[in-house]
Amino acid sequence: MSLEHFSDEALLALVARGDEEALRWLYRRYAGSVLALARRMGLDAAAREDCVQEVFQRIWRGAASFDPRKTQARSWLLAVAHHMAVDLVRRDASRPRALEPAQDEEEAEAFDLPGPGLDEGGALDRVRIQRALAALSPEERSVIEVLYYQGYAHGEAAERLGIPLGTLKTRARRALEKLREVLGEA
Amino acid sequence: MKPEEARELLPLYALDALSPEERAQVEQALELSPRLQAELKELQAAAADLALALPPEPRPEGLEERIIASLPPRVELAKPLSPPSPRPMLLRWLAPAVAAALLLVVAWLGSLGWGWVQALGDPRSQVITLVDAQGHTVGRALVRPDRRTLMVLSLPRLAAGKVYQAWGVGGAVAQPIPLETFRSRVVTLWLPPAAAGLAISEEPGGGSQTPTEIRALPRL
Repeated sequence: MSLEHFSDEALLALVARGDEEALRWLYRRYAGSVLALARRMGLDAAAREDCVQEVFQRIWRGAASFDPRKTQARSWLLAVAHHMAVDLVRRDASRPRALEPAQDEEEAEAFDLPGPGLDEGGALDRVRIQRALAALSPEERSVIEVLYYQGYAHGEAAERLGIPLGTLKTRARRALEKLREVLGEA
Repeated sequence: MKPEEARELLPLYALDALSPEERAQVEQALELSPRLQAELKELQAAAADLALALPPEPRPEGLEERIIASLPPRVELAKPLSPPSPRPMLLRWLAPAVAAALLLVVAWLGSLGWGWVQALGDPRSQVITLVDAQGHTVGRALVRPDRRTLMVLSLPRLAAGKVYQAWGVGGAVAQPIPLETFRSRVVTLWLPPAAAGLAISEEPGGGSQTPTEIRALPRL
């Protein structure tokens, strides 16, 4: 029986019961995003592969702890990936390159338009998300950049940005809430 | 940690920006507060979007096989679903409570239920235990030799506009076979011979051609 059309939640339930085929399908859906995240966070090619391998081993070991009432499967899978990448970044004290210049909307779309053989649905989703990111203020984007894409803990992040911790917390909340609002309207 | 303190840290939790000690404290507070859990669910969805905003990288050749080869062995390794096999003394195989529940259902079905009474004693009948994502038993199905199937379920109440849908799975089935939709706890249906087991999903009203949210699978 092919599991291709099963939801992430169903695949995780199967992984929790030891189904390797279900893990393969999750790998095919998410490995590319895990690699992209690891690259964005500054890991070299070897470390990126190690990251993906460790992420899917953690998913294999931890799938039974996934509770669909508490979080979406997609969020859970990508949280495992980000947590692993943060561990590697902090362990190696490697950091991604400095803040990238903000791309305007046209550049973002041109950068990632779906093409032959690509996952067109996923590419369109990315365009939507990039538009939502563009709706953040520069201050909110900086907080997301330093906390999420560079993997700094909150104290260090506040210091790097030169803002009080309370301001960092407020901007982080506002940024995430705004993302959900904008994507909800899209 | 007080709930309001934990709430203040939720965005940083979702962004992986807390120390291990702070994470543990937030997780303790989350266990006690469905409201905080609901809020975190939204924040984590936004954090996931940050990862999905990046164009995916090509998967390195051979990495999938290396990952599968590196998996630690699991006690509860999956076994293929086996086709229905003769089960002598079926009632002895059923937990007493389950047998009692099935007999009550049989009685409720009245005259139409006589075939099910006979099925309980038929060594060719099969009982399938259905479990949720956490492995908790959420129902059982009695499959007669003629493939008529009686399911007794204890799934959560559905929201308006939603239905449960049964699927034929396992055995010679390549894709889940869509079967009946229902909202009740007791269901009768016909299980195609190619399917060795049953799955249940939650679907929009009218059902679907492929499962949307699997709610129950056969226990392996």
